[in-house]
Amino acid sequence: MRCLLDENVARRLAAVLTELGHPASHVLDLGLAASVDEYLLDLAADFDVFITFDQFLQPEVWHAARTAMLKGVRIVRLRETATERLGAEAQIRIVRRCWPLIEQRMGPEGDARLAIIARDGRRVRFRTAEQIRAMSGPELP
Amino acid sequence: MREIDVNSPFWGGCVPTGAVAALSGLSRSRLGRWHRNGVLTASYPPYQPGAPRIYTWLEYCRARAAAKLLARGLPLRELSVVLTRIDAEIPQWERALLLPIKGGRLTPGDCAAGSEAITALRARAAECSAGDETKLIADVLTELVAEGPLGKLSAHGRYVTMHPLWMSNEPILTGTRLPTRMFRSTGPGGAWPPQEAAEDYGISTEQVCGAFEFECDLAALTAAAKSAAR
Repeated sequence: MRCLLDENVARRLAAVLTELGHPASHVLDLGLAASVDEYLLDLAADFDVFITFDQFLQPEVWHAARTAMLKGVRIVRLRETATERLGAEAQIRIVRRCWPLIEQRMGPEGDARLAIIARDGRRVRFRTAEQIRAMSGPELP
Repeated sequence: MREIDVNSPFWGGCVPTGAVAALSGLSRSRLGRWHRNGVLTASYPPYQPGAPRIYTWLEYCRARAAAKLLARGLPLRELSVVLTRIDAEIPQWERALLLPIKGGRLTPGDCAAGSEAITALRARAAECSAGDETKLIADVLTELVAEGPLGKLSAHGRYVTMHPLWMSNEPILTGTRLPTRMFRSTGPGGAWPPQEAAEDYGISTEQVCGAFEFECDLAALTAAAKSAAR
């Protein structure tokens, strides 16, 4: 799975994912610092998985994200709480912990299009295309 | 960097009720009342039961203008008419409160870019007598432009901004896609030391501390707006 990492995800995670066998590009390495939401969602269509901390709160952004997911893009949304440590090490640990499950549910054989990783990686919720089609908005905390 | 589409639907922006209340100084109960009676409606209903109403960027700016108009003595019964007049006479006035975009990037500094219509209004207002509605509107809009996007927290404008095209209008560190909420645990005694956070994201420690201080002040204002509603 080719992965695109948003600017708000630690850059070092790209190397870890590549090491796990999934070529990953970070937005900063593509020279796209401070890109607007619209552009990144367009760009995500060229990858299999888009990893981000974005909540897709704006209805238009959520609609664009939903359209991308229904067209086949997989989005992994990391969610933070007030107490979690969000450093690069923590993100690497969380993604390493969840990745076998993500691979299984979001790989070529999987049916999930959206994964929401919460509680320091102890909870991962998956949503299929049908479930996403039925969602009116992002799943907020 | 791709050119910014001036007609993109993403310009709509979104600000949750709590943030509108905190940054405008209006209470949540007043916003709720205004939403119900049509003085200032939120375009988007809550995504889920119990979730906040979502205001567009324009509606958030209207709320800030409303708070300032009332503070300057405009009677409540005239508020709706004045807000409609602002929208009609100064198209896209809400964009004058945003940081300018150059080469696809947010540029810190002069927030007044793109506010020609407000400048023209100010010129017209200079010829009006004190107490005139045009003068009142010009004064309020000038103040809003000077404050920039963060309203009551404009003092944090050095490091933090909000813009409809970036991260769904969430407060972000200027020139990045890093929402300030990510840095809540970087305070004294927090789980994530600011130096480490700065290294992880290739930003300065001052930016991390700026984001943390903004989050603290936003939380305090949100709590105050909540308690004022009770």
